[in-house]
Amino acid sequence: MNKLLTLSLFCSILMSQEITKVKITKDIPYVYTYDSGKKIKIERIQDTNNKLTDDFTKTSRPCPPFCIQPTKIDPEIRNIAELELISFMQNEVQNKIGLIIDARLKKWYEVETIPSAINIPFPVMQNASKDKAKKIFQLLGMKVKKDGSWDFSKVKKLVVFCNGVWCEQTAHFMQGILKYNYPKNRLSYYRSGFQGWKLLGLTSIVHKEIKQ
Amino acid sequence: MLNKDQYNEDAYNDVYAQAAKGAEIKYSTKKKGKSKLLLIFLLLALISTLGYFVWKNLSSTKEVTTTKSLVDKNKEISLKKETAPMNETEESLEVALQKTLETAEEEKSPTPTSTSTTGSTTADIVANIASQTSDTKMSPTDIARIVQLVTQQMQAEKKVEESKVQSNKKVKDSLELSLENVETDTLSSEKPVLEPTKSSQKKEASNDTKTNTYNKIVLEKSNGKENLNDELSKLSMEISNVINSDSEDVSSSSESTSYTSSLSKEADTRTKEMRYHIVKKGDTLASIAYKIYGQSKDYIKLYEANPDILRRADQIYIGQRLRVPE
Repeated sequence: MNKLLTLSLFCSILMSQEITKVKITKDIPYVYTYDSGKKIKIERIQDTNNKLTDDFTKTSRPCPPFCIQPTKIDPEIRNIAELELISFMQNEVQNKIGLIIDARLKKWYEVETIPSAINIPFPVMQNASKDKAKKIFQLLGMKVKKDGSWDFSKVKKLVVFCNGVWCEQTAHFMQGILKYNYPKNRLSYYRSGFQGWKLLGLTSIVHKEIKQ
Repeated sequence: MLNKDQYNEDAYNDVYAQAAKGAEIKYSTKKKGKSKLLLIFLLLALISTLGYFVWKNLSSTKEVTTTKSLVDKNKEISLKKETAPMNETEESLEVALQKTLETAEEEKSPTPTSTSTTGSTTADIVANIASQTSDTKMSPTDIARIVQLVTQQMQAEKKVEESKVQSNKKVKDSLELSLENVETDTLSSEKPVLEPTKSSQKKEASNDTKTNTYNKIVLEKSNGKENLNDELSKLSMEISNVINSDSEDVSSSSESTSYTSSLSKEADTRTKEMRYHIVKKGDTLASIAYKIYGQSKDYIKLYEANPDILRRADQIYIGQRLRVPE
């Protein structure tokens, strides 16, 4: 009898371990992506009592410069949210036709970012010379025509984000990239930014650990 | 003559007998109740085990459904396109065609799959159809369909080879195009998300990465060099090289300089927030706080910053990874 009881208890424990309590959506418990050549499981923190404890719990920073951002950066640039971003990771990024751009300063990017995002700090794009912009755009799929003009017809789709609704680094990045006529229909703005990502307990990437 | 003592003794015995009976009845009820409880518990355990296996089966079916959704979608569309009911031969052709698509899909899957699933060749398909239609005579239309199918298969294989470096999406589109009169869905966001099998994913993920309680994955660079095996890492490195080629652009505008300096302060805060300390022998929260903040009373900062690890401020354990806030 005791053995049976132990067996049933073991089964219950097994069951509780297998079930994802906090899913991404009703049908998607987790997804996979790649970062730095490694497979990354994107899921949410499973502890339902977990709360944010770091500086992303901060409600107030001086404004300016940390002011609430308008909903749209440009009427023609699409705003997206978490699910579209995850779908973008799964489709466009994995199929090499899209990139997730972390427009924040390098320090931010290094300590924590969204999986599969690459860093192009906004000042780089905002202040880039024509030659530098050309080099970056060529890496993004831009072709130089015979007459010297730039052909953006096959450039990658970009999703740009920064820290969130109080952060204007994305706006500055967009300003810089639009100066060189990067097609607006190939740009998307993840307005909730990294704070929105963290608030949902989604997996993040640390490129540089800060040991005390 | 009434013997008082005798009477009392009888009465006492009666009462004792009743009490004893009652007690016995009570005891037996308790025993039965206990066994009932055990039975219920066992039943629940059985149901839960059964439920677990059913759930497991369902989830695996769901996964298979997801990965084969393209095939299902094509099937649906082709069924809609059919005006007349299908005969046996046509059905077998459809099955074979779907098998072809499945094989091509598996070949194009972003994750490595077993090589045993990729053995379907044109000859195999024809043999398959022939075996399925062996009982009936093949009509000229059947033969025409087979020829068409073989051509399609050859085209599909050619495309598969050509587009090895191309995206999954493009492959799906090309396979869809190989079907007659089928329109492709260009909204990539509406397409099903392809997931590799759970077991292989778990193994690979656990081998490759180190997750902590905050759901952060630390990507350790081997000898300070990034893993450049994948295109994304290469691109990231190339962009980084272009960015770092000359740093004068970064701080040329005065407007952006003031904004950047404000941001730098916030970034420093963030960097400090991301510090951590691993508890060593002899550490106390107060001693760690003294080392970091210069005063022992700031142990409370450490305590409040690690609610999931620290239950009490006077209980820390060797090896614990404590977040050190600013």
